Amino acid sequence: MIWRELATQHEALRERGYPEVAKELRKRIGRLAVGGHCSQTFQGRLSDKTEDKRSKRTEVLIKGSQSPIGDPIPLHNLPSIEHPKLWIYALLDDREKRLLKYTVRLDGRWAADQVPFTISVELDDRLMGSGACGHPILHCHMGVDHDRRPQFRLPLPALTPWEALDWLITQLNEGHEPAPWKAPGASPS
Amino acid sequence: MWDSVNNIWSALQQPPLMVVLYDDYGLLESVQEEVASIANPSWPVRRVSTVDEALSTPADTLALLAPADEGATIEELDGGRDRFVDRAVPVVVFLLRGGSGERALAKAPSLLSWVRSNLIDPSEQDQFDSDAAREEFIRSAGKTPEEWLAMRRRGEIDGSPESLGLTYRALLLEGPDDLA
Repeated sequence: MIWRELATQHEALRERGYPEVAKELRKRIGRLAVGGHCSQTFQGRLSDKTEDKRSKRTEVLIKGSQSPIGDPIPLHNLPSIEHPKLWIYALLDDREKRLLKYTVRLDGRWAADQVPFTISVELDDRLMGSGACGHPILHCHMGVDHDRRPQFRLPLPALTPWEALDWLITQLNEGHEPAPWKAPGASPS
Repeated sequence: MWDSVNNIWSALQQPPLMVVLYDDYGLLESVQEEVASIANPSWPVRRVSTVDEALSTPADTLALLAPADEGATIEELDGGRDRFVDRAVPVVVFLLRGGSGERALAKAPSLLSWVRSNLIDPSEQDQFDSDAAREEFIRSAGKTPEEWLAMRRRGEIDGSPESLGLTYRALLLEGPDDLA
């Protein structure tokens, strides 16, 4: 059944430790900075808030107090969007080398009509909701904001946090495309 | 390398030289990858093991220097600092904590003063007081992180921003089963 297969793939995503997650996310932030989409300083601010020696859990985020998932990264040079803000958050268990939870979220307003929107890719730390179809472990919220309907959870393939970031940015800026087609009519691979 | 990430980033903006201490040979590659991930992604990266190899890399290349002979390398750097002044991108020297390179650096005051602001020692910068954080959590929530998360998992926690903030904090502080 597709939903259980998807859940198995989502669980397999967790088999990775802090170094890989932090490094790959930092590289993406660096590329965004080189592309003029954010300040270079954010590559050095995508830090770990804490490594709790007791729990051996580590957070990767932009340190700050604006939200439970840290401060957002203001993005630039995305002409269709005004005031885009990007949040990146990951929680890892360093003892077990497991990715427990992540959020890659972008909020902004469409420049054409000023309608706000949010896109948020989220890996839950545990099974939630009715099941693998109604509440996929890795899903995406898309809407006006987190509080107003529709509050659908779109299932996603098993994307790492940095792949989710690639996907999210590419939806807004085709220049970020990490996997361009080779030529019209060519095979996808 | 927790809060030292920002220090590494800052040092990378200040060529020509920076020094990173690490704890174990087995961690060297990981520490080098960490530094490279914090660097400008447009910089080419080269791993080298001697000063001459580092100097032979283009000035806009990030040279990660893990010396085979740390003590001799520090002496060479101390006597040849002028050779690095044209670097647009730093040479990063990796020294084993407590090794011959760190000892030699302590005996090379002029080199030490030159690199002091670019000397990264993650162990001195990465402090987090777990016990204080748990006490602060209990003061705020009136429960331990484990009790808070158990309530959340039973659906007994509201969705307010304050509760969400406490939940994220509890997820960080939640002890493994044998400690909870």
